[in-house]
Amino acid sequence: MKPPAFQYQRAETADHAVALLAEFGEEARILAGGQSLVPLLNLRLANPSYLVDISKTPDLLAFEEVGAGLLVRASMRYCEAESNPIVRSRFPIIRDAIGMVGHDHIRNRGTVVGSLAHNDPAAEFPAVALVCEVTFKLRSTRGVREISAAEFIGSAYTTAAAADELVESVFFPARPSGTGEAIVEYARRPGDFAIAGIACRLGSNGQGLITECRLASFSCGPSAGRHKAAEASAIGQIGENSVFGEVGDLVADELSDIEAQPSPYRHRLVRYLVTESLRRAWHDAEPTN
Amino acid sequence: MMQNRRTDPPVNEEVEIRVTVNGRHFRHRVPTRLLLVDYIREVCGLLGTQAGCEQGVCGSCTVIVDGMAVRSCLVLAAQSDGEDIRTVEGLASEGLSALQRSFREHHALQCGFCIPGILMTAQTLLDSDAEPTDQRIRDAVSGHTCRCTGYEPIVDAIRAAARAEVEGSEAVL
Amino acid sequence: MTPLGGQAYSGTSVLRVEDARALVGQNRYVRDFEPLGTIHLAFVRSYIAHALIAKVEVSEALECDGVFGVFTAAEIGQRINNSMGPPQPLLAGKEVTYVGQPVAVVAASNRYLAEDAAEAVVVEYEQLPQVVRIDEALNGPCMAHQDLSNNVILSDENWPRELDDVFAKADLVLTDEFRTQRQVAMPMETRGVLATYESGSGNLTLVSSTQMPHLLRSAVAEILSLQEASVRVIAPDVGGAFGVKLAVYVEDLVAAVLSQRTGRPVKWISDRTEAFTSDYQSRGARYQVTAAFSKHGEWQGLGVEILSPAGAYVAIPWSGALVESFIGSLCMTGPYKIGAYGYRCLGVLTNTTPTCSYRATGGPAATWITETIIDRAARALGCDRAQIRRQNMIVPGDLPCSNGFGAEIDTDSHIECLDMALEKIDFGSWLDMQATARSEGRVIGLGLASYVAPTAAGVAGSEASLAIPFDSTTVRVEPSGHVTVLTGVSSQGQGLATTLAQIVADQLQIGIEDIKVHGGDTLTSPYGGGTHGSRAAVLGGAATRLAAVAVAEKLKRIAAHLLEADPKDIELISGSASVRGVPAKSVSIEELAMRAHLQVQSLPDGLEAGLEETRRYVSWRPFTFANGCHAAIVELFRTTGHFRILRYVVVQDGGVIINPAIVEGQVRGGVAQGVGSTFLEEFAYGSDGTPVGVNLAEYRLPGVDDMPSLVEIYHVQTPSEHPGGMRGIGDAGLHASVAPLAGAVEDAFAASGAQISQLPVSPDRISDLIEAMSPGTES
Repeated sequence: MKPPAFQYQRAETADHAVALLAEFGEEARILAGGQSLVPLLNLRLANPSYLVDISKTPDLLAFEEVGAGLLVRASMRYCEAESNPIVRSRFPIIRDAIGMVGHDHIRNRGTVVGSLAHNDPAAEFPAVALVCEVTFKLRSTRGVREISAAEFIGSAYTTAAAADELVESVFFPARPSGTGEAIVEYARRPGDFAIAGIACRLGSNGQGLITECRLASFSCGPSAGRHKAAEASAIGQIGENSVFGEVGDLVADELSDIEAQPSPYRHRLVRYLVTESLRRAWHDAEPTN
Repeated sequence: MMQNRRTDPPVNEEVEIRVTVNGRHFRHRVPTRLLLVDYIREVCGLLGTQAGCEQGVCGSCTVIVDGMAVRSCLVLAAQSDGEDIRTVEGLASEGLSALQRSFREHHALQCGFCIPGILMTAQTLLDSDAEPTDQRIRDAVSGHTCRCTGYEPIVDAIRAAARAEVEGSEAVL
Repeated sequence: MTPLGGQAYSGTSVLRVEDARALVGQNRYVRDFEPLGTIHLAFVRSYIAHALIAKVEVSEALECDGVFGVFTAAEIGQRINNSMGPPQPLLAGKEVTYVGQPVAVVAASNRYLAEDAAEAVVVEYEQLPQVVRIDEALNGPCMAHQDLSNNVILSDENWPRELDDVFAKADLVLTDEFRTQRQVAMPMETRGVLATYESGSGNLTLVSSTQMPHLLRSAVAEILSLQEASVRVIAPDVGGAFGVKLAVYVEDLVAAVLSQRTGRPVKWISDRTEAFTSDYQSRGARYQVTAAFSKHGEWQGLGVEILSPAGAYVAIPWSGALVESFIGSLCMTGPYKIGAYGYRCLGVLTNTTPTCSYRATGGPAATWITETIIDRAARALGCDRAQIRRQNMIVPGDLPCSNGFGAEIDTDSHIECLDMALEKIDFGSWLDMQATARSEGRVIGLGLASYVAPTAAGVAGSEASLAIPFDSTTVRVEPSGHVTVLTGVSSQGQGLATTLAQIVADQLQIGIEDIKVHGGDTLTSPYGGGTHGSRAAVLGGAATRLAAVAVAEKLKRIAAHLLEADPKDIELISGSASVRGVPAKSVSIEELAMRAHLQVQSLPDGLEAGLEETRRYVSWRPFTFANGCHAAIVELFRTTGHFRILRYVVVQDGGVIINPAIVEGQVRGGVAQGVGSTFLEEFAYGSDGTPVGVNLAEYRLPGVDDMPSLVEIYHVQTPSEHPGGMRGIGDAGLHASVAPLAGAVEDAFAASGAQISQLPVSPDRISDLIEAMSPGTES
């Protein structure tokens, strides 16, 4: 189908963008990469009166290192992040997650922040944000606020951003030393929506014991979410496959409980994905093991 | 599709864009909601690019924007201001390019509908990687849906085109 | 004007004449045509499966920008009548019977504005109970149409009395219920039409993505009460069809009616979303199968009861219920001599999109069932899978031979194809390979499919043919000596312009570059039956050959006259006509053509001016059979339920092959559709008749990652009796590819006895089966 009619304005600056949002509120949508919004427009499932195009807004482009962390601005495209040497060396989970997003064509236009703001239940980045303790900077004419990923991510396709708030940037803090991260998913074909996926971070004490565990599932429910009971069970345990399997069981059990029709297949798949992601994260934390 | 229907739809607006299409500069006023694929077809008159799904899945609408393969059904023409766009009509200045010839030699097309999009993706692949592995070729093709060929001849054609270019440039050296 | 270096074109993978323009974006599909003044349509479609229409409110839509008009059944009241089921209104007026059924239509200056107005149309429905599943439609009590007392629109049976006796007495009786899923053909180009009516002349021109221009012309003329000769149908470049573009659709007729009303060209192009529910669908049938074997593996009896959906209306010309049942029951016995065979077919209306044919209609399910049954018999009896097939197969010497349905099988290379496939797939080492894999924790299976595929439907007894049993070609040499070929068949990707040019080139001994082939336009194409059911190359090719031979004969007569020789002594070589053995006595085809048009006084007495012959070739054989054997090795993965095709072998007897690369392309595309049919595709309806997942992300068409890196294709060429010796091959790839893939999955689980009787084979099913076979191990 063709998009419905809307008014359109290119934002010259971030302030310009939020001024437009203030004026039009609920009736406006931000257009960055368009890879999530335009499909909705083309199905007429989104019907904004006003599009604010930030895709070329200079102070919303690209990203920068802030201390040892990474500040990713609203219009930074997946492809720019994927090829960046800082991302590849210090934030490999970002690179891996991007590799799971659609195909080149989508990555050439779509944005990391856009994926987070859209919050599709099958998206990788909300889970990555939960695991990596990403903070979100929201700007409106009323001011700027920073909130955690857990506060930002709502249910399917909803976030804590108010109608007049622009998600200006997200900040990936430096990974604590002694930690490893991983993201795994099963999609029937590369680029498909995941059938299930897990992102995780493990911390090691350097002598084979797990000191930290952050684990989020995606494409397993209405939105990405942490599994705190399962995480807690890992702390203090030896980083080995049997422990990872037990954590996997806990996560799979928890997800089965909320499913309308629990399936043994999904249980086994989730358990496997948890085990595999923990194994990789552990190897990342303690490569010698 | 009755969600969120407004009682006072805004007036259809237009915005000015300046684009380069296949090396030619244009300045047009376009409806703000006009999809890039429809701009290419209806305003520029380049009919090779096709809207196959308007959801970014099938790949028939693929064009090259600023050197990168994109889905023109997921871009508003309004966003293309200042961009350099290349379509299938711009792959060869006359006749068939080496890539297009390779498709013909390998019987890599049947109905032809998906082919312009695949050619543009293949072109960007070869532009960035002179000797792509089979896996990279398959990855590129995996962003496209073809209902006719079973894909194998398409992969063969791209592989052969890459090889021919490498051998051609080696011959020159 | 030189031919291919002296070598015949036929049998050579000549590069396609269609490709040079396609590759530079010069193909022109329906959507690429837009005369000045064109108005665009957007349909308002039902989102409810069964309801009465209480009210259609168009006043707000009429106020929208750029709207030419908004039309309902009150303004467009025509219906498509058919003898098998309820009449189908162009726009639903009283009752909607499927999600996607058109209720109103907006005409506006472009599609964007038309959709705006369509959104503003308000329809009020009073819901009625819906019947969605075929079992429910058969057993009642809910009717798909309020005024009907029965959902059954088709009932056919041929069940010999002795069959039940055979079942009662046999050593081994196998029964099962097989189910195929609903599918959509989903060619990459969606449907479209551009209708232009001229009131002054009464002429209507339809540019349509149809597979059968002449039949569409007849139907449109009849339904709209126009003279057939006043209707012109043009199929331009068509982006794939696979059977879905055969039907006569309401949208084409609405466009024609509106062009009559408005005096403007009227254009409608389906978008992908509406294609899911407005393109006619396919498959979705239930097969109750009983088979009897002796303890020595002799196939003594087969009975099949087929229940098929027609959807909400009986499609014209062929409902899916009709063709899936008919072709399915016709080729169900495969290449085997089965002692007794019976079938019962029922077709039912349901509150779903109407059904039509889809490539190899009836064949994939039939082959899957037959080959699964024979493999199960082999397992139960402890017979070798190859040997049980051989012992029951039609052998050379059996011909002429009628199969269980009564169709005459005209090909006997069944064992030859089977043996070649077994050799190529390395069947002799298979059990070791499977055991080794098992010891490594890998799950692999091998599937086989021997098949017969009915092609090129011809005259079928005294009844009206289901399909046009002939086709026509005009071969014309222009004054310059170049050749124009006008064909009754046209392509949707099959490369017919190339194949038919090869035939002409060989007969006239000229270069293929001097021949232009045109089809698909009822104004210039001689009468044809369209491209479907693997008929075009056989019937169109035969007609082309006959026409070319006739032109060659005329050239020889003119040359003989000029060279003062006997026509029997003239031969065509390298663009000239020469006296055999005396190359110096020769005249070029250019000269002959010039004389035939511009110096008619130099022609022999009694010979007509010009150089043009039209021939029609009728097949008196109800079906010409193609046959062969496919073999596949598939690996299955425990946790993800993923599948990977490790090897795929095709041995195909398609008769004489004109262009191997074109034939193989058709096979590869068909095999890909078999992968989709077996593992990926499913058009699902919720219990309320609302379709689920109507987008390409959820309805999974096969992609490059689903295919093996190589489909190996080998040819056997048993000539048919038709001029040129061809057999149809367009459908064969899909006809035989579900069976070996599903069969490979079942073979992988042979140790646990799991049976695959339902499609698609989904990841969770694969994973569950592996888990059941060997629980608990990680993979």
